[in-house]
Amino acid sequence: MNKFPKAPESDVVVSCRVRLARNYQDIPFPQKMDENHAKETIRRALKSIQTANMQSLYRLFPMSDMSDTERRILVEKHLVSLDLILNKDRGAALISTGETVSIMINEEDHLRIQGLLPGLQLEKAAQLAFHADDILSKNVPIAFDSKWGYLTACPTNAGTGLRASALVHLPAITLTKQMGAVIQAFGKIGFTVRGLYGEGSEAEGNLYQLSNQTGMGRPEEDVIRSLIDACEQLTQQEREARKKLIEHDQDAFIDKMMRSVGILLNARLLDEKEFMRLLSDVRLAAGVGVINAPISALDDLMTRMQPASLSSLAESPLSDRDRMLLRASEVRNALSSLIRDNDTLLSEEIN
Amino acid sequence: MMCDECGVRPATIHLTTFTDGEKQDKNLCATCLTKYKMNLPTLDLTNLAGILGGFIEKALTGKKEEPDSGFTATCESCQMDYKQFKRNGMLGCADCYKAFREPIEDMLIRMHGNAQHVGRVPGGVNSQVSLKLQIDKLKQQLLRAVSEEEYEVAASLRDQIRALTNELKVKAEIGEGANNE
Repeated sequence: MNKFPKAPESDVVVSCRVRLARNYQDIPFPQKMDENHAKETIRRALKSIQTANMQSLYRLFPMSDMSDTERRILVEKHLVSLDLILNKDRGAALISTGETVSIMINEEDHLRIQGLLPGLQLEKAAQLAFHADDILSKNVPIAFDSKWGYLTACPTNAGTGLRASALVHLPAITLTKQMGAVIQAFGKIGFTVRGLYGEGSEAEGNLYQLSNQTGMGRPEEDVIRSLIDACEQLTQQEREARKKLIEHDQDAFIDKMMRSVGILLNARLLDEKEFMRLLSDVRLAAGVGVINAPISALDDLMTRMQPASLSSLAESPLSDRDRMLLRASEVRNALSSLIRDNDTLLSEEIN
Repeated sequence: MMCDECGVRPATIHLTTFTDGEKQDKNLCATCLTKYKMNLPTLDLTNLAGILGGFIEKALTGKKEEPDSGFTATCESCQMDYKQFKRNGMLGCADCYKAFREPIEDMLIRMHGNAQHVGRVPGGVNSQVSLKLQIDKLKQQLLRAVSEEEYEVAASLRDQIRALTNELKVKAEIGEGANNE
């Protein structure tokens, strides 16, 4: 079995996610709930999973029972939001064993059901979320209005309660300074483009989140379809930009990529920013075939090298400098085993 | 990404400042932002909640620069006050939608046009909610058919409504597919 399966369009689309916001009709929303209400939402969600006989496929993570590092690892894996761990006294998450479904409990809404998959697999991610939604809303009163749809804590989410998003890697579009135009163009047709860590954050490692939301009047399938179309368009655009960069000056392009590979293979101290910047080059190199490395393994490495995930490798708390040392050493080990046969590849024409 | 100041908490705010025409970017956590902003005389965050409240109010009423729409109400179920909702944009419970129906409807219409949910319903296509929605839709079609004097169509619609109503009754009695409303 392939340890690093290739996800569709993964040279550009890192991962995708479909989120559904749901609330119980008879319990106050998280903003107004007390401790007992919080326990009741967790109990109900757990019971729904048990009734469907799926308890062996899910694990409950009560935020209050976890260490700060453990909670942050879930954020770094994009399984839970920062908001959930900030509400650690009441928040919990039910996460499927394959980490493709995550149900956040007592975040902004009682339930935030998410389907997450690598690459561009939004339809499948939606199916995962819908399936979990069916299980969680069976025989329990869900806040719903025939006119307004699913009722959510923030009325801007009411309707389908759906938000679909994709994490995209756009180094060539960024390098050719087209990102501003892309953000504007997608903004006009109702999509939001943001940096990796959400609103207002910088696009670390040329990673952007593309998302859309229904609200009301459009069925879920429509919204998901339009995000798929947008992602496909963006993927084509990024591939074109990559091709142009290579055509423009192939030697300079390969030189830049391989210098980044070289630094990551040799550095002794690596901070997060530099690592993200260089890994973006390595990911691009793998995407266009300059180096032979599985992209999913590079994405996995990116997650594992985030601060909390890195801290979990050490037995005692890490200083900033220790973390840089550890990151550099982990990256060296991982990359040297991932990147193979490069001499043969480099001697060939890459396009 | 960690906060540039403390390096411990994750950065949640990206701050760009210009000092003597020189641009400076910082990623800060909320705690350090509070410390940091003391050194920035031009940045006044004390009224942030008020500013956000103003945005919500604007979205709710569509009136520019008018902080108060005059609407007042308190949700009986959770005691959420309309003013409080305006301040942070979050409702307290499902019943708030009834208590603040008027301004919420205005806001949703402004956002989505004539707001009517299309899509999934709790419990899937066989749930009571779904049946009710189907019956409502058929009833509208029936009215149209009658007004256009298409009596054969109307008769068929009437039969469908009857069948679904019976199904709904049975479901309500045995409590199957009960989700809501």
